[in-house]
Amino acid sequence: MTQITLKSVHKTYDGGIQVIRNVDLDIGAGEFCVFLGPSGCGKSTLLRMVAGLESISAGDLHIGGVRMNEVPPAHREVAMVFQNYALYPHMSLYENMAFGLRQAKVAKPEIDKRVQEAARILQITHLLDRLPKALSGGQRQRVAIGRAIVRQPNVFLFDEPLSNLDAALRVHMRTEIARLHRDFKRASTIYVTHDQIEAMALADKIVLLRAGKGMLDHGSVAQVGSPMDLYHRPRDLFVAGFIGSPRMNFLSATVASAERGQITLQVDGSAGADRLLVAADFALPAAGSRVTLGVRPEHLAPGAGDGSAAITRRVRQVEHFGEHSYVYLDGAEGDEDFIAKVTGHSTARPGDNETFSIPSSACHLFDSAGFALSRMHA
Amino acid sequence: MTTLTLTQPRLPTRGVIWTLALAWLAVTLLPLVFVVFTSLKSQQDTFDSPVWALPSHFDWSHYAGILQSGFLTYLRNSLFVVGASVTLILVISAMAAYALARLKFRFNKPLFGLIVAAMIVPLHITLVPIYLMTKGIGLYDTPFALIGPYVAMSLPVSIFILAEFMRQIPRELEEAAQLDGCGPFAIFRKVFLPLSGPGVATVAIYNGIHLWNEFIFAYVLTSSPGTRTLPLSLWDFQGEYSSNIPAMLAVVTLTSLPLIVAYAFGQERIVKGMMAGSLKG
Repeated sequence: MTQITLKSVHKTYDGGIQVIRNVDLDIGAGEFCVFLGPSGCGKSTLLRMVAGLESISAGDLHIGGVRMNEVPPAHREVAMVFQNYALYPHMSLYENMAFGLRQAKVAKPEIDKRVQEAARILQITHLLDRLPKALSGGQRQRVAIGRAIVRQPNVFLFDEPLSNLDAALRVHMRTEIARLHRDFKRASTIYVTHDQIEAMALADKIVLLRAGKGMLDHGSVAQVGSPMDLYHRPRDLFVAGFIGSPRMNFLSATVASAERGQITLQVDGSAGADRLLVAADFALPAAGSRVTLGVRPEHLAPGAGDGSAAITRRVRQVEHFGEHSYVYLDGAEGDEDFIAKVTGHSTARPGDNETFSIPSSACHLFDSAGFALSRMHA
Repeated sequence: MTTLTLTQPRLPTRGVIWTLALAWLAVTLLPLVFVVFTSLKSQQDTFDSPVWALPSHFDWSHYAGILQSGFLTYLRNSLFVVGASVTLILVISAMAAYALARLKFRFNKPLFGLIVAAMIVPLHITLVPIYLMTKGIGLYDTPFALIGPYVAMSLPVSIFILAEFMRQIPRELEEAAQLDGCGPFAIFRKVFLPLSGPGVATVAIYNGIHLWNEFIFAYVLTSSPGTRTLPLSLWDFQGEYSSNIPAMLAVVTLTSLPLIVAYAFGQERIVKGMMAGSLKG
């Protein structure tokens, strides 16, 4: 069982471009950890640093309690599955899977046993004599996973392994990977993706990374937690906006009054019409301070409710998906669209005015710096 | 829905292309046909019949005469020199190309630039120093004298072609091999070399043709018939058969034959290799 620890890890490329800043992270033994984030946030770079394919500019990486900063990739007991599979084109599938074991001078009968076993698990036994070019994308991905399995590593590393597959196959392989992780529970897994659905479906722990100025100001890690943690208790506006699809709606507002369990907000641009009462036990903001109210599209309820927290907006567009529909409402001046996820039977039409109530229990409040106001009783 | 159509050249354009292609075929093929047919004429036939007339009968006596008068020694020398040179060129240029294409070290780019720049050095200005060096180390007038200069003059273009091939091999393969426990040499031997097969074949064929025809270094660095290569056989036979045109052309035919065979089998790779430097994937 192998624990992975990163302490104050930084990565700066030649020329002073910083891509990873101050990452502190513990990945438990047997844990499935997903690195998630927008393009350019350094999630693949961080994975490659764990693999030993990128150097660590500053900080320490420990795998199984041993400092690994200068240890070559082959001696880190890790196996990696690449985005484009990285199968050796001139070798049969059997040879692809056996190659690492041959390099490690494992006995031939043992190599054969492990390859056959991995092929059986991945249902590719009948393909072992073929070259990679004769396989479909999904089959290639299985071989890439098989190549990792046969090495019996302590850590599995996946670098966006499903992004080259079509949507249906992606869902199928996602469940396969989850099953494999359960079967190989002794190994820890780090999985990189930009797809939050993959992250939510697979992860025990999500590490959400940020890019650009946010990374330089606050470090690379935006939040670490279980998928439900990130969904229900986002630490700041970036996390709240990134997790969830469609993204969380934000309304800029001023605190009109704040008492324990009851905060009244004046939403910008609404001239008294949208005065919202948030009946939840948040850390109290000062009256007159600027805040951002966040509410997820799926938490907006059609109708005015009890009238204490409702907004009325003109419908700009409606998208029907059968099971549910997205209603796009005009945002406040300068704000982005406001989206409501409603049942598939919604009769809302573009041009109509629709009213939605905002349940206090589903509200998120962020201070002027963008950090979430914590709930007193979560 | 979009439809993909392959655009065919319009009829007049195709006519022009065919005309030019046939003209070019004639330019390249007719001299060859002339050489082969004339080599099969008797000497009398050569003087009596028009230049482009077919032989009245196939006279193989010139070929028999040439094969019995030392031609095989030239052939043996050529095979040895070209074989040894091409082997060395492949080993050295493949290793250098891998290092220059993939390994990170100081002065990598300037070094590659310098090697590429060496392609523009006119070889003839190196003749005298190479002649003096060859004399100095006692290799003058041996087949070994040619191997060093041949390898040196072929390396820049060979490294250039192979480096371009190796740059197109995905970096992830190298990284996968690293994770599988390979060091740089194992990555080169077990991943890059097999995957550069078409490039290596191109370099082998390209240099094989070039060195098979090489004349000036062979002329300067060897002097006796026992050490000379095929291109010099023409030179030597010229004295012997100065008035025997069919015999001369039989020598030309025999000298070209291995190349024609090599080109027939390897033309696709030769063309691909020529393109390798010009197109970046």
